[in-house]
Amino acid sequence: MTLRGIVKRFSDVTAADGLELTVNDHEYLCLLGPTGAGKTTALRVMAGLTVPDEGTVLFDDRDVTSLEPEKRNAVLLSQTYSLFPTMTVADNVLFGPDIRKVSDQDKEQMLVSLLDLVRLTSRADSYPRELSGGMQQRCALARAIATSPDVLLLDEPLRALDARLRIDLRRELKSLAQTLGLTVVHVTHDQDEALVMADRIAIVRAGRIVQVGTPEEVFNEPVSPFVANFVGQSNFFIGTVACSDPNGSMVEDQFGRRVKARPTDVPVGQKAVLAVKVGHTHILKREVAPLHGRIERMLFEGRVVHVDVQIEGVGRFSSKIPMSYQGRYKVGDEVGIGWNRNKAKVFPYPEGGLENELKVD
Amino acid sequence: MTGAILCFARSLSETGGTIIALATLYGRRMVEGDFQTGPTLIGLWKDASVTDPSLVPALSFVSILLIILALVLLLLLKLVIIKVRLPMRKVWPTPEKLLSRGLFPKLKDSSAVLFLLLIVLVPSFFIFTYVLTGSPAQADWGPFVDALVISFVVASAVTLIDLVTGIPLALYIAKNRSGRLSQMLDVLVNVPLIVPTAALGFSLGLFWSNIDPNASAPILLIILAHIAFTYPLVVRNVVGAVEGVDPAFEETARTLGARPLQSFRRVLFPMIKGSILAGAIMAFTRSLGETGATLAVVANANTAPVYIVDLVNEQSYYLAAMACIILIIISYVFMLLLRRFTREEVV
Repeated sequence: MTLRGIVKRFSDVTAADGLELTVNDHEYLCLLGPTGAGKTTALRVMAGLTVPDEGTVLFDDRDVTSLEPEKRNAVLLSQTYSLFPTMTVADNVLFGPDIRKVSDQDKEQMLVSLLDLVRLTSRADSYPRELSGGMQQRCALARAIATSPDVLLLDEPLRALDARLRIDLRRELKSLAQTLGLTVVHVTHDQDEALVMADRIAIVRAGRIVQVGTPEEVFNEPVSPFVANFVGQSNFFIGTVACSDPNGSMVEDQFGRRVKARPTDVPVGQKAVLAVKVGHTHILKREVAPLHGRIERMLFEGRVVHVDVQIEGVGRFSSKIPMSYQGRYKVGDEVGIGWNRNKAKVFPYPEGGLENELKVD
Repeated sequence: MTGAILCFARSLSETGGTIIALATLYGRRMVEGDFQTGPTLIGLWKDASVTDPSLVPALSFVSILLIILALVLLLLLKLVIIKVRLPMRKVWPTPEKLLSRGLFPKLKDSSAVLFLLLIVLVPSFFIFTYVLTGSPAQADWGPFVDALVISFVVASAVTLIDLVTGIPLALYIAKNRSGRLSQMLDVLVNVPLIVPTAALGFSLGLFWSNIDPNASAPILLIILAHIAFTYPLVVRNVVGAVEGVDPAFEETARTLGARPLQSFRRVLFPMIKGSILAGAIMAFTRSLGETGATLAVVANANTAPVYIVDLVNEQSYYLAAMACIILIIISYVFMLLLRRFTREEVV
């Protein structure tokens, strides 16, 4: 499936502003972006529920831009699952085959295998309201699969579930898609979900796709400070590129502090911003670190402790330290901050300023 | 507030009840010069205009006046609702505390129940005692049965037409909420509900008699007139129900391969069935009980409520009472059905 130059405006909001995206066969693609970025609009354009103002939607080489949803064989699973409340689980699952006039015998077979697949065999005659959230989700999935869709469109499929179940279902959903060889587009605002589940992630922002790549690529090779921050949260250091060669580069701020980074294309002397993931930022001894500041806050998060360090003239840098290190530091301590050169990436300073670049709404 | 508007409109437009009440009080057919309400005057003049065509302009005038008054008052009421804020935010600790306990809540509850009994229920059912104690008159049921049959035919036809034409409009209004046209239709569809039915009936009568000057099919005219003020009941109910259903249900059905008609029939319809039935029953009973509009369209109409009004005018109270009881029983049965259907609704 290919989206080309999709534009969609709603009175004063531009929900899609030239979307370009290709989804490959049998691929699990996550559309990841902040709330209001236009993810759902993109999904609805794929499903045919929203007709774009401009641009084309191709299924293989077929232009389906204005084709009705029922003729696309692209099934949408809405956030709330939309199980039909007046039908039993079995009738819900067989809704698609019913419409297509599949023979009773085939339907029966299909029902047995699908209910078995989603572990709802014993609940065939229940009504959706009698099912738990997880069961509802699996029932909706079975209903979608029953029509053997060319592409399965999932709109925040795990959002309505509680945290524990959500994490369990990630694995389940992914392996189901793999087993059945489904092509899936999965919309989410949860970066962890996208990183764990996706074959490829497409980052959406303000109606545009800003980066497409494997989870490793978008995590390690972000194309902009926004992506660096949105996927895996980054710390930023603003300065000018002091030197750059194939082995690495340095960024220097107005106080003459120099920090290391990977090789960069940003020319020497140009204003730049260095990004390093919170997970790659280390708390060091004050003496050996290029940057130092005072611990402002420590948050106990279970396996790790989140530490915020206030660095004068730079701002807040965050780091995660193992729980076992917790006793080594306390709020108010002067500490150093450092990172591995290869973990830091340099970007040209964003035109609208860094704050604007990182905004998520 | 909706309740206030409905009460107001219903009272403003009631004909049958008023005529019967007044005629019974006077003990004779009403004549000009008696105490009148707008709708009864229209009924009276309409009756007279059959022999005296010079009354038609006056009749039109009263009808127009009633229609305009109804609309103006509706507008005023809406403005009052929007502008006048009850002092909800203010609290008066001592009096409110006093009024919230002890004798006061009990007084409030018992007076409410007493009011229901004395003003609403007892007078409504008083007729039973009349039949039980009154002397059975020489009864000729033929005309009443005929009238009842006509009423049922009219009400059934009206309900059927309301459903077939009302549901599509309701779907249009509910699904194009942001559209100007849809918003306008949503307001306009209520107008016949607020305009006094007698005035409305007269207007409808004028309109249809232009098309069919000989009134060759009076029952058709009555059906058309009744549709005008029952149609909004169906539309209102269905719009409300459709708006309560998440559009995602139908959208999901579409992506699962259902045509729009299939997704309506298989998904949306079962979810709003109860509301459609409720609307249908409301339209049916409204048509069954309507006097003013019927008389205004066809002066010598022969529906059950009109027949009862005639009986009262002729002082055939016993027959009138029996007829009323039969209508009350029928309405009660429908009310029970209505409650059942509305309760069964699953959304």
